[in-house]
Amino acid sequence: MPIIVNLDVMMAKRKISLNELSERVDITPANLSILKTGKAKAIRFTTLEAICEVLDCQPGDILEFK
Amino acid sequence: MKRLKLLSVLVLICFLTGSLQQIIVEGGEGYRFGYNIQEMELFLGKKADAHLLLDLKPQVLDSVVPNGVNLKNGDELIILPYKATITTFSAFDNETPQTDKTLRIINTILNFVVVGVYIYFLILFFKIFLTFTRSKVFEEVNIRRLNIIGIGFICVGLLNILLNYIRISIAIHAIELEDYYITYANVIEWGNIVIGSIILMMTEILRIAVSLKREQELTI
Repeated sequence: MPIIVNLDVMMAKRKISLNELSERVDITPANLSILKTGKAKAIRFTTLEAICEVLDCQPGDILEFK
Repeated sequence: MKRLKLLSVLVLICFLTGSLQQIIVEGGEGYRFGYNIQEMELFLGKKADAHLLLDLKPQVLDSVVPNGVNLKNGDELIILPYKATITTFSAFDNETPQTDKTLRIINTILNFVVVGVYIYFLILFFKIFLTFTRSKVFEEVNIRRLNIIGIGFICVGLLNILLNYIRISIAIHAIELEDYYITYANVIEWGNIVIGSIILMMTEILRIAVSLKREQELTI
């Protein structure tokens, strides 16, 4: 898949755990894990917005086209 | 989902009622027919050796004469049997060619296969119905089951064609009628093939639905 999810990189940079992020973004850890491991087929704008807000980053920091 | 459950119950009821009707009505008629044949066997002093349901056609259609009476008004009627059960008493004796015997054995085996396949369909239908009641319709296993049923119906249709062909071949070898000839005209039965094709088409729709569901599940 040419779109790479760099969520784990951003989480490491912000020193935030999966459980904490899932609580603050209000999605289940299982779903966040799917996103983190690159298994997700799509991401809703609302989810992306919430993640960017919590991690204080841009969508481009999380998603990358290779 | 409620409508789907309702429809599945309807399909199951139709399937079971149809099967029961066939067993009771045809079984009852078969029993009566068998009883009459037995009486005839005692009367003739020889055993019936075959009961064949055959399609017939009159040899000369132009010179058909009235051969029946309408008891309601006394009118003359022309009755042309196009389907008839013919019972033979010595058409298949010991001098029957080996090919005929083989065909009859194949015919019997294929009949059992068709019955077995129908029972298997019933089990699969019931399993699919159970997934409906548990609201787990969009599953890979249901696609597989429906696929088996669809392909099975087409196979049964093809088997029926083979069975009809064998039955008519056996009859043509051993029986020759005065005013009618045995025809291959209705050897192909499209019913099961059409049902199988429709089920396979619906299965493809279900396959698309399952893949959409899977994608939806992976949308975060």
